Amino acid sequence: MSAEQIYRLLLRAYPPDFRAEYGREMVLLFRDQCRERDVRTLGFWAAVICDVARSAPALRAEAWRVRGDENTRTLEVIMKLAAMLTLLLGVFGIASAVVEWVAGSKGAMDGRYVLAVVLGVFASVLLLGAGVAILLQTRWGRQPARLVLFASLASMAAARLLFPWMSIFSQLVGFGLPVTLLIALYWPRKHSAVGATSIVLMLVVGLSAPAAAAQAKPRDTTRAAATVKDLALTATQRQSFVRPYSVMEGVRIVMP
Amino acid sequence: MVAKGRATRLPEAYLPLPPATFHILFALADGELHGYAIMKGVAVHSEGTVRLGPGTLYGSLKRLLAGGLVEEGAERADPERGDERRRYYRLTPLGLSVVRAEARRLDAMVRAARRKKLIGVRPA
Repeated sequence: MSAEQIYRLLLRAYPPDFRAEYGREMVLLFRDQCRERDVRTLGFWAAVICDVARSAPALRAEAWRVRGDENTRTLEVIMKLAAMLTLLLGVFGIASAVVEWVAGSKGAMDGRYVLAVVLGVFASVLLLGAGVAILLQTRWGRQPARLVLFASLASMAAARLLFPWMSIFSQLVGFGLPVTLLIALYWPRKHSAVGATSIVLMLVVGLSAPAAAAQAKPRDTTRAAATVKDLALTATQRQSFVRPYSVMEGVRIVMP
Repeated sequence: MVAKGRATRLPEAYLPLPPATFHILFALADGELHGYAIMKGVAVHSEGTVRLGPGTLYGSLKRLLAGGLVEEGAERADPERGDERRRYYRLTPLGLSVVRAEARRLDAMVRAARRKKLIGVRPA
């Protein structure tokens, strides 16, 4: 293997962009050095390796820093769009809860239902607040947005526990959006162990809320049966509506 | 190191320069040079005390180009070496101001060292 081939191998220590820009010039310069010095000496190669060891890590670090800055800028744009979406979904959530309230008020409403609707409105208002906090970038940084999103997640989990018939779409928005935003807010701006740990912790905390809420299936079919008792349905249709609400194996559904 | 926001910065804002950067700018004060000529120039001006390798030289040139202290000239073959085409580099007006400012700073240091009799006096 010639000295130039060894040097070309050593050049792989440099960032690809730098190699593409200056690799040819560096090889030419190395060729000049080879003409004027004895390449078979230890001193020559010690100087070459020292030069690579001194300059390559600094250039690698510089390339990572530039890439990190570019990623941060992209993330900032995504966060702005996500904040606008959060604002819209917050408004939609409030409107949806009002519609739910109006629909529910036509019949008899129990306390749990009222509380669930109130919690739904509260969670939507918090989402709205999170959207505003991300957009405005307060002097306390992203902390208010994080706290508001955790509160929204907790309200949504409580609403889901109180009202297990919540629609899939509402659950997706109520749990999915805050969890996604929290991941983005906890995403480290610079690579760090603290940033990685906070993301893992946030995922554990964030995802355990919907998982806990998912356990909130009704233990009996009474309410579902009562819902359909006045409707003009066949016995089979009534059973197919009520069965999904039963979580106990072998429960006999008695229709009124 | 080369500072950011070059359009608004005074030459003094770049000081003190890292030794490799100062030697490269100092060598380029002679005119447009290619990489190997800069390396040789640095070795001559520093009386052999500073030897730049290709990595250090091109790493510094990349930063100097980004900072607007140096610019690329036309690519051509060296008439003395008569081989492949090489990239030539030259000082920008800002680069010239910066190297002058650094030379003045070092000159003031040397004069201060003389006043204190740290240099220019034969040891007893």
